[in-house]
Amino acid sequence: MGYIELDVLNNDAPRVVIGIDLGTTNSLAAIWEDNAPKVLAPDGLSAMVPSVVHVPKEGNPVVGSAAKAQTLVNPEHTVFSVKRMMGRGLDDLDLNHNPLPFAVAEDGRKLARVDLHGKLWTPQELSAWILVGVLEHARQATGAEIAAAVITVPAYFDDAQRQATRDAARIAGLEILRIINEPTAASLAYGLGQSEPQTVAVFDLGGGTFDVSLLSIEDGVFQVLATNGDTRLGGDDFDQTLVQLAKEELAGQVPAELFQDPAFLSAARLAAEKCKQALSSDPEAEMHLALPEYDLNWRRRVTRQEFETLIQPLVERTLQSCRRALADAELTTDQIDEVVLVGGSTRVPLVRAKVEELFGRKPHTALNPDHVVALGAAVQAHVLTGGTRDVLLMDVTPLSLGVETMGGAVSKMIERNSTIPCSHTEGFSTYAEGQTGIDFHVVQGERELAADCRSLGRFELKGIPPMPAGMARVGVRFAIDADGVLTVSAKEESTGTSSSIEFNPMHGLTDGEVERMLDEGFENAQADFDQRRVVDLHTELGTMLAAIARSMDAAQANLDPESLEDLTETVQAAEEAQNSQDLAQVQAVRDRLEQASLPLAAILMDGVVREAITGKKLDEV
Amino acid sequence: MDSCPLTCLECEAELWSSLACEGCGALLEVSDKGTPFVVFGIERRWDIDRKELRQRLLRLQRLVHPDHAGATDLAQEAAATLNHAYEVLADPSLRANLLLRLLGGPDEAAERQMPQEFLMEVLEWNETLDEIEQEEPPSRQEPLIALQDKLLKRREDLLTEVGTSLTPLPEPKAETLAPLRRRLNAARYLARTLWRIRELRLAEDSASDAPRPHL
Repeated sequence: MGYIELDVLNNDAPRVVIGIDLGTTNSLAAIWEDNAPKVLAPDGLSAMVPSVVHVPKEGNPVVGSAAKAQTLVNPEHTVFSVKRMMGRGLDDLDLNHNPLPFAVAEDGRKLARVDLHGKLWTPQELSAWILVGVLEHARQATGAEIAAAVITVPAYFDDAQRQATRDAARIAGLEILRIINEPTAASLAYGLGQSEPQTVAVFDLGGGTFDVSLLSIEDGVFQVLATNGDTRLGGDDFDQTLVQLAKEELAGQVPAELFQDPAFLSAARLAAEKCKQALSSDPEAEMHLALPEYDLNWRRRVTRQEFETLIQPLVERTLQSCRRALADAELTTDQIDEVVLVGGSTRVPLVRAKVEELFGRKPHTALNPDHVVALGAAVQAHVLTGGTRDVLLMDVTPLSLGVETMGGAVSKMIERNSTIPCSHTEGFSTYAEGQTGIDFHVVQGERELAADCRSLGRFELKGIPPMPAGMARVGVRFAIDADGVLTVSAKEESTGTSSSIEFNPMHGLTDGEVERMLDEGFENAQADFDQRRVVDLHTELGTMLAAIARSMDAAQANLDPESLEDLTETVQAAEEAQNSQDLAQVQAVRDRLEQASLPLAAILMDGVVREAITGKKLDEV
Repeated sequence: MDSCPLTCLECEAELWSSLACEGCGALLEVSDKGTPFVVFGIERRWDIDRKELRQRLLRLQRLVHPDHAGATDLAQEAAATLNHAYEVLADPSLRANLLLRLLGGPDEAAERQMPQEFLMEVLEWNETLDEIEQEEPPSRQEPLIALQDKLLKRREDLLTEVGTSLTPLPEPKAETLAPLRRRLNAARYLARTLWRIRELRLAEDSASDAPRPHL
């Protein structure tokens, strides 16, 4: 299954539903096909689309590998880790401690925005471009139109972050079937084939976020018992410890302003990431920072032990989340039957060792930690389009929901780890004669004081019929839906009139803003992809031309005149095509060049074979 | 007593829950879903079969959960009602509070007292807890576990006593209902103290590094 017919009259390409893992570092899509979920990768390409957006001065943004290639060349205009900015303000980003190579500003409403060539981009818009990139990837892989998708978010995402994800999809013109939590999605991919009832811990440490969820899996019923996490803890932070090390050791040897330079920030981040990855398999690795324009060529051996000392406090934070989740679920570690590792950062040996030590068992590592979330999302997409009734997912809300009371305390309405959908109706009354509006502040979090919790925003009740003070009784219903997103509705109970509610989000977009962004250029997404493919083809042409140039002597010596003439002509055409923006033309030249270079390739291949067998007896060949 | 709107208007199958018809899968559009007992279609009583409750939860979830019934307001609301009803019925303390309310017993504001004999114990536990809090972190864990075990046992006993007085459901008379409220107040007090212990133990764990099992 996995196919839904939405419009039978206008149905050129088949339409499919997919699951999307919209990650901090990488994003990818998966589909349910032949009774199993599988990740989507166009021929010859990886399934993973780097979650990077490059915004050139002219033209539309570039996404994925092409954008990532701009990280060092064009650091000020190449945005990564967008997910960490979703539904967040400038204060949350801690830029003094973790400066970014691109400029982040705050708009009037405390929403973080990225300044690119003087235009302020919201994380929602940048995220929408990443989604457009993933959709294009999925379209190429399936040859079908994407009708709708299940998108995953970290379980510990608060309401503003979920809303922001929903808005990103709207801006990208993508219908969301459901938002599901990443560890829950992973458990779906893991648990489908399991026949024994079991209690599972999913430990999900990605590029920017950490979640732990405890679930019971029995007979197709996936019930989340408790979840905990940290939406500001991931592999990025591991990298930062190495960047910090580089800064400390370079201090004094280089001008101080280097540490604020976008080129340095990007190069240091990439060098740290590379070193960290090497340390997952090697006991020692080198961090290498080369910035010729600063005359900097810095090399530093880092031992695994040294790296582990640096990240130890971060890993300890993940363990503390695990202990909290266990306490909330009223479970002891010996009641956990399996520990499933998800996210690229669980490749770090210290993480594995610590998780194993805490739970007293070797974690389950049979699943690809980079793919499992997208696979689970594809399972859920299959369920939601009526593909099966055998799977039932019962998830929870990660954070308590409350309203601020007099004196700044929080009155909790919905406790964390409540199974969703859930709701609570709170009674409000008027305190002045003829009062027609009530204003209240909604927060999410576990702390006692509203100021210490996360502000979702202010709700303003309007249209209460004028009555003596205290006579109007307004029942306000707070409901968390199956996406984990809050909706608020209100009714005046004595007269039964519904009051309208105006919501002023603290860190979100209003409907009007989303509409405006929708109008602002996503219709041109197809053209952008043509443009991106042209960029890719130009790169490919460059590589081919360089290879041919290296072997030109061999060609002139060995090729028949006809083939040589064809090759020379095509090379010339290809050099010209490097300045062309016409996709069809560039594609045609690339294909022609491939054909024309075949005879040369054959000669070179013969040479290689001759060399390989020289000095060997015939029977040894 | 709690009863359902009898038969389904769509398919005339007999209804056992106020949320949906298992015969045709229709969600029922009744504004008042009744007590959690009506939602689950079980008799109003203290002593409920947890296994059956869970089975009914799953049967109803498959009917009303937005993943299966579509993400309509009706399904979201029915699922929310179901989840709330399950939470109340599955938790002995919440279930007892519900029964007491249905019997017309006093709420916490009307009857704030705890049982006399309980007060002495409270003083003793508070003293122990204060002493533990004076200790330096590494040596807190053992006494905290001991106190936690003690309070858990006490809470269980209290709720068993409450259960006994609710089985069979008593006549709604003030002299039987007020003592019940006092016991439930004590159980609530215990829950809060247990929470305090839990937080102390978690804080302890982040200070030391040793992994320990928790409740």
